[in-house]
Amino acid sequence: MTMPKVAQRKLDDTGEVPVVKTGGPHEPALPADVAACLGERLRAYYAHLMNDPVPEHLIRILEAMDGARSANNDR
Amino acid sequence: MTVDPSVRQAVLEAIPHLRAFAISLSGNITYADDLVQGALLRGLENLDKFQPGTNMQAWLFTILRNQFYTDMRRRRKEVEDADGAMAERLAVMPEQSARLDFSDMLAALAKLSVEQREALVLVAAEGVSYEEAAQICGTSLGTIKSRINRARTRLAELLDLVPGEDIGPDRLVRATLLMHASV
Repeated sequence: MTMPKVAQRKLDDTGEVPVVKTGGPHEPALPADVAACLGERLRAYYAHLMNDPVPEHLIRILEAMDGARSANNDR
Repeated sequence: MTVDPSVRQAVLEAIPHLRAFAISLSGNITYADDLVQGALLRGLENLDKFQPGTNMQAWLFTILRNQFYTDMRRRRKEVEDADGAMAERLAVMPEQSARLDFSDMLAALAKLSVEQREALVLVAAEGVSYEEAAQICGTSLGTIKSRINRARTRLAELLDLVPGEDIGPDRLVRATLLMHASV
């Protein structure tokens, strides 16, 4: 079990929780450091996916449309 | 068919983005690659409808997303318990994507509604503007903002970044007071 450490630490440090206002008054909002952490993790996750090698057959779709000119131009 | 080199380049550069979006959306790499392939083929077939000067990537994102929703609707018709089937399909996802090593994030994203998931991934991960995300998702700016906000809150819970259920200073203070009171 993980404790709610982020919120706990904030309360210990400053006695208050900074809140990111991203929505209207009825929207839930996250503490600033949680929002920042979440953003970082999402971007790292996505960068990881982007680095996954693109399958050959997807690249070949583009080569096919170029016709013979680059059909054998694999690299 | 001859294609303008700059258009070709834009399509080529969009592919990793399309894949990352499709994997995030569907939670299934094999299916994601099918989605990307379909979007590329459909995009190339309809290149005459692409307006030069506009964003090729966003255009392809829209095509891919539309296909995803079409598939999802078809699956709903085919399977009686559509939500159960969807959940089941997404549940096998972490195993399939083990080689991608971000299964915890994929699993958490899979627990969001598809509308929240696509909005959050587009803006917070892919980095498109709220306006562009609204356009790609075919909805209003306000709706997109609201979906992203709810998605962030839910995802933070799912990833154990915040205590579950209620988030907000009031609840936290109350929880702390209760904790102290019980010590």
